[in-house]
Amino acid sequence: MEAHLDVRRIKKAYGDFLALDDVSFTAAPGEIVALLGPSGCGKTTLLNVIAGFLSPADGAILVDGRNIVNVPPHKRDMSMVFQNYALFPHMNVEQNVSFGLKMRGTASSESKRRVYEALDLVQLGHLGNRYPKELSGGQQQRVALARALVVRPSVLLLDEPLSNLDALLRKKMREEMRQILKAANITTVVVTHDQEEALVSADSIVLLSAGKIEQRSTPRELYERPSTIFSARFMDVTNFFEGVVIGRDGANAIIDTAFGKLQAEIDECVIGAKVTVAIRPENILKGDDAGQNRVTGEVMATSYHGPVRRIEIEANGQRLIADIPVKRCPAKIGDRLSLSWPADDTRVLPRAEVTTPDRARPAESILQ
Amino acid sequence: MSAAVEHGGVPVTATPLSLRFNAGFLLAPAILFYAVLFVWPLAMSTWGSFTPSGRFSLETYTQFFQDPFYRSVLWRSLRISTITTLMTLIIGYPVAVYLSQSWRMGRSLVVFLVIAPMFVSAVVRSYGWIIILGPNGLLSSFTRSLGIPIGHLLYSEAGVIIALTHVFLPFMVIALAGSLQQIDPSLARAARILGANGFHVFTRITLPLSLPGISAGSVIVFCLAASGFVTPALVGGAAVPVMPYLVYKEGLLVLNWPFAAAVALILLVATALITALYTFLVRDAASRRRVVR
Repeated sequence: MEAHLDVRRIKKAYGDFLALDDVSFTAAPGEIVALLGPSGCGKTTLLNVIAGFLSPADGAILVDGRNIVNVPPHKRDMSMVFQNYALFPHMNVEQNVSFGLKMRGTASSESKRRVYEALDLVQLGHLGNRYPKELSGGQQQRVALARALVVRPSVLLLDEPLSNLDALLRKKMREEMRQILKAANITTVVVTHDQEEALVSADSIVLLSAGKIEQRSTPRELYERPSTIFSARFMDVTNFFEGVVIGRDGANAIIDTAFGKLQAEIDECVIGAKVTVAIRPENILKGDDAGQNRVTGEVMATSYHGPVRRIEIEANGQRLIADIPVKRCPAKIGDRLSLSWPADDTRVLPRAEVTTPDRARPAESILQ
Repeated sequence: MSAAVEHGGVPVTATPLSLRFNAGFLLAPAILFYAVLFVWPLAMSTWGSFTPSGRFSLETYTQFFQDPFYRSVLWRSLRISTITTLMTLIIGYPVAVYLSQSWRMGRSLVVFLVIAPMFVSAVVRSYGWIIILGPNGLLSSFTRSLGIPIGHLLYSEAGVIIALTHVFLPFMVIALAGSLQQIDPSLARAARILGANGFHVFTRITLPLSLPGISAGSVIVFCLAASGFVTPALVGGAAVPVMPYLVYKEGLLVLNWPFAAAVALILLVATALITALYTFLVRDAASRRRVVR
């Protein structure tokens, strides 16, 4: 599908600090793209550049093929939900929602109908006369969403839209929001620092780190197949071991690490390549029959996390963190415990410090 | 000693009742100060204005309102105060907007420049204006050199308004900036992305949300300008008589104390009425926006 929003090679600098360094991504019509990253990674700066509140040092932003970099915000036909909602305190809910329509010169009868359509969509049709301060946080969030949706923007921008809600409401709203956005079929860019929120609500995720794109993929791909150590760490992978590829066993590569020889399923591999092995804690199972990778060690620490117990074992002088379902894990500190996990749950990532492959050795692909 | 220790060092008498008593006690100095130095003299002078010759009479008031000269002085006072308020509002608003935007450069310098006139005594400032506005002052020689001699503004109402605007501008700017700073900057961005241009952002967001500051600043400047004595007396003199000048003249030169008291009370009532009406209108304008149209 042709891109509806096309962000090309955006650069933004504050003095010597590069807030955005050559960032590009696209969004298909109706697609929800999440800009994900830790605070200070440039995601909010990028959103403000798309909105037109900041102008980029370089790059282009195309909406339906038209470059809008020099178009002021009020002529971009976008709308935005702010982190603090930014509802107009001197206007009631109806006036807040109708503001964008008024600015666009929509006739008042048409405007009223659309305002209540939008309010009904967020289930607040009965609160049109209330003032923002008379609403709960969740209701304010919905008003902000209705105010942004009612103008039928070509692109909707959401800046941490759920971060001011309490945990339970946040979980409820992120699913509800996705349904509303999908029903309205609006191209959306949502900024968030919460990886779970990005996984649940987005069609694709742009992971940013220090002003650069770290990974751009679907939520599932990002979670299951992170492509860099940063991505893996950000998606809650806790175990990293540096190693060297020394051979293969069927479809799997054998990697020699300080932890022992580990097997991993990988796309393409070079014998002798220096790699980092990443293992997600919940993929590690109790017992020694869950996969090709087995380890036995002493339990050093445990902590209770509700559905799982996080245990840390030490073996071969290395620590391994595993999340074991609570019912199946009576382990105490000092116990010896066997753990195992399959090769296809073992991610192999390029080691960060290696920049050039060793060309002296003949490359040997282990997959056909 | 042991009783205090038993109660964790808290005085045994610290009951809610005595707390209330303590709170009232804290207000006592202020109440006493106001009662002795404001309420009592005001009551005395009000009483005096109604008893010019020992018996109750409206003589002083009829004298004031029947004389076109005195009426013109009242109107002049109110006119000068109103125009001064408007001038400080118009000049001060952009300055206050500048000060309320945290990303602006040199804000502290602007704050200093705005507040600096307050460090200088009103008398000194008025003499400064006399030099500028006087017959051979900066203003008249400058306009003369431009070939448009407008004469001089000393001892004119315009001169008094210019000097008063200068004196009271800081009060307006501080009141407005305080109110503008309260406005969440994301509101303007929300309005812009929803399609509002700069003009609409100002008229629909910034201006209505700064009404409390406009109201407070206007009331302060109006009251100070209406009761100001030094600046009108030095810059306007006898040619521009205002109510405080009249009080001074009747009270200290003519020694007609009952009449001076009446003039003071008329000014007080007029200022209070206008302030009340204005605050009511501004609040009404603010609340009218809350009615669904």
